[in-house]
Amino acid sequence: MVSIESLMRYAINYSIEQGADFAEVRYVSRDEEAIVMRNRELDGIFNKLEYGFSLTVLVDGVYGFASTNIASRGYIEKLVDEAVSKARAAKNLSSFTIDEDVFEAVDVNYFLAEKESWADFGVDDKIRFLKDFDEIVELNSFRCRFPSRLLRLQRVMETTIYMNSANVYVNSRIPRVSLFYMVTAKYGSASMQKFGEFGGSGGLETVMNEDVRNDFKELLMGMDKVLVDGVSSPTGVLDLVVGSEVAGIIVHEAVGHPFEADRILGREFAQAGGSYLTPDSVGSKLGSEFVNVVDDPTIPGSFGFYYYDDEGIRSRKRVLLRRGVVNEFLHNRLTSYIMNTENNGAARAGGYDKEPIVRMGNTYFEAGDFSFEELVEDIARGLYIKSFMEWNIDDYRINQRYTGLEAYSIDNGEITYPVKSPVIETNTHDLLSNIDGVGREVKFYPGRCGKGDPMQVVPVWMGGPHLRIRGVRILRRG
Amino acid sequence: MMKLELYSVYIEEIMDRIMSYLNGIGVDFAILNGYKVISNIIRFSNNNLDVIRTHDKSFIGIDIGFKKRRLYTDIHVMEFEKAKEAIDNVLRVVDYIPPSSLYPYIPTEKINYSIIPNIFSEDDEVNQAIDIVKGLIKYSKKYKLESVSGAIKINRVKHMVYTTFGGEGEYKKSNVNINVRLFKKKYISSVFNREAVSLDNIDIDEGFIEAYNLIRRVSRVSKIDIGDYRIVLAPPVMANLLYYLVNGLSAYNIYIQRSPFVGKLGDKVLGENVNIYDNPLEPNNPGAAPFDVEGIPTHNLALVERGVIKTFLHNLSTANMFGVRSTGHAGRIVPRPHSITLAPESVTSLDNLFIDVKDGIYVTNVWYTRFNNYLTGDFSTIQRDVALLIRNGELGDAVYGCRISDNIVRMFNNIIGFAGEPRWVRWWDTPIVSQALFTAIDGVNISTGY
Repeated sequence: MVSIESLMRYAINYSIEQGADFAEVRYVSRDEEAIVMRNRELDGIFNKLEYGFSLTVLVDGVYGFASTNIASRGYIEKLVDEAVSKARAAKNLSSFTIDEDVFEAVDVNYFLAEKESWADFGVDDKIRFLKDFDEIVELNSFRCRFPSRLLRLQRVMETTIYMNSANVYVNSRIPRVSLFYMVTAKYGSASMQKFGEFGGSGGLETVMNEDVRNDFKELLMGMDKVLVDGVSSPTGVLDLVVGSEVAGIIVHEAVGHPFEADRILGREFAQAGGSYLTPDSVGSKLGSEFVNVVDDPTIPGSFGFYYYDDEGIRSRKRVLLRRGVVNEFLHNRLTSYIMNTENNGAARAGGYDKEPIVRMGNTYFEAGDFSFEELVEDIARGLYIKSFMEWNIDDYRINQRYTGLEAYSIDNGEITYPVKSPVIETNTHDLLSNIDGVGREVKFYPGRCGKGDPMQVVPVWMGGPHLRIRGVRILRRG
Repeated sequence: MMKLELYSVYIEEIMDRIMSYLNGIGVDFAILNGYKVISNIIRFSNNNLDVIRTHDKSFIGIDIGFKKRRLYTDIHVMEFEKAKEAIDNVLRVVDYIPPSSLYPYIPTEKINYSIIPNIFSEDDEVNQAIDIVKGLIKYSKKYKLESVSGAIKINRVKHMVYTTFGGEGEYKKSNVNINVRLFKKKYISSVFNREAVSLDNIDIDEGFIEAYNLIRRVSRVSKIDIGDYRIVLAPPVMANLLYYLVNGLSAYNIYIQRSPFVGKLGDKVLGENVNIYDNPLEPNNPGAAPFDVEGIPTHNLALVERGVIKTFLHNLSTANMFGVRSTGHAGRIVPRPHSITLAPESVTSLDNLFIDVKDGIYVTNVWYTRFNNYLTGDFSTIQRDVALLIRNGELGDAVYGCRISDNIVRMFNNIIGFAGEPRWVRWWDTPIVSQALFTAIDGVNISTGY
């Protein structure tokens, strides 16, 4: 039996022999398990064992990409032939080059540990955990009902081996655990729905902890308050304090995505869209001096964790906005080459059969020095929007909307009564320019970010502290 | 040029061995789905080719019923020993878990599958696709566009199903998808999107010219004003809304209350002019399939007729729960449509539809459709390509910043007309292939963040 690594080396050597100027091979194995429960009843248990290879070759200035999950030398040759011949057929339609000097020859292994190993817990333990979690709906004297609760506990163990013709070798293993929920609340004929996720990289400790239970309980309490006591939201231009979850979706959609250099270059135009930035936007003012945004995939335990990207480049913390000024974009090999700048290791692929493209890791507003009370006390009339449900943003990442789920009126510097479905409908410039207060505590939320064609999904964290935003146009639903 | 083939004898051998192994264990039922998928994708942007991709994937989905527990495992490693190990792992938990709430009924009737003509093209169409990309780039330069970007995807699939209750079959299908955006300048872009069984069934020139004509005369755009409008939605927009609407007919989504149609079976909940079908046995349908992933034969089915919900989409589990028979729409847990066809009784021309609307907005593409509450149907979606004002029945100035912020049930009650020939549409944000039409809707709320 030929080992995976020797097969990968063979693929690289064979590609070069066939005329490729550069070749890289990525092997990914994903071992997934999921348990789905609805209203404390088991809907299903799912396992998935997936593995395969992808091969990238550069031939006569054209990129060829091929993937398969058949591990044989003969089949790999067939695949290389296919990738090389199809790239040759498109000669003159592009003229990319790769400077192999940009690669630092590395031989790296890194494996993220599970504190509470998934394997050490039986399926009965996990089902019991889900039932206990679901019982939170009964532990409190809610006035509304929660007639439908869907929970999914999932673990994905991803092993990646990367090697290329420039002597880069990286072997990693990252486990990720998540707990998805979808909750429907009803009070009379009125209803509310919320879905979201808890989780990170590591073992079951990422979701089996008191913080997660308390967050879920708080979420249900908030839904109860708004559904039963909430009044119609005020509209008009109001000052806002938004919670970490809302800060997280704002930073992901309005800062993280438009800072992906492939969008800035128009490479995603027909798929995931464009950006309000241009290649020469570095150094331009985008937000107030309170706005500091970073993307950092190297945070241990984070959902978007990795040390080396899927093109074999060492990643690092990327400062996207420093005091409101554009500092750097997110890059992969191609975009950094085109823009003649440092590759900061943002290439990620959503599976062995996906092409690595520019992606976020963990994106967040950095902490400031305001307490929550200080953020609120300076608002005469406004809203505190703690969480959201519906959101969207346009192709250029400017025109955006977030509909509040748990929200309260702020009157004369105090949180007063709950309000229903306030809608933030604004644009990126106004939103980032009008932030004039940033809280002290950063909180993260997991997300599954989609991009590319076919759609590829990668795990990320998004978050931030409480933010105060002045003069935001608020509409309302209903 | 050599080509990869849908050769799959090794999958069938492994499936045979898995089925023998499961029968030996004495499972209540087993369903195996084997797939061999070969895909080619050509991506281009800024008038340049980005990458040519070839994917070859084989995998087996295993669905086991044992002691009233239902277990699933997918095997992407084409070795029987690995499959056996995975099966042993899932069966090991049977005594530690409660019975499944979604346990299916096991069919007893004789199972026969239809043969659907014209759903598979043998041709390796990659060179043809490369020529199309070259042609599009030439068009872009000829018509002085800033650029064209897009992707051409060519998929060929062999799908085999083995069940313990008499269903055994296979079919091959192919589908090609072209999604191209024409870019003139900021906020002035248009899209053409088509899906078919073969590239030969797509008129590239017609698609390009139709998209080009949308932006040909547009040189400036103005911000939209918030308000209620009559709108005309192009097929990519309608396909997107149909996808979300029909998802609400999935029985699992009814069960988890992720639908505005809970308790509405047999009720007239949409407009009199709304007829929606799923016709998976239709020739030339890129979403065609003679059976679902539970090995249940599919049928051409009315989902909504004259606004009345005729059926929910069922798999064996939801059918058991609802006391009906499966409609042949199994997905893993969640039933899903194979394809969606909007088929009104009366259709006019697009020019006449604009005249009927008189004043309003023509929205050609949207994305980021998100629901605030699936039970009520409240949602919003945002303009992606050019939108044009309709003034006195004619297209006028272009506008940007449109966000449709409304209720999906209300919108499908306020349809005032349809136009055009049905065309198959699927793209990034609309994963189920749909046959959509130009559709005019009254009183739609439009908001904007500008």
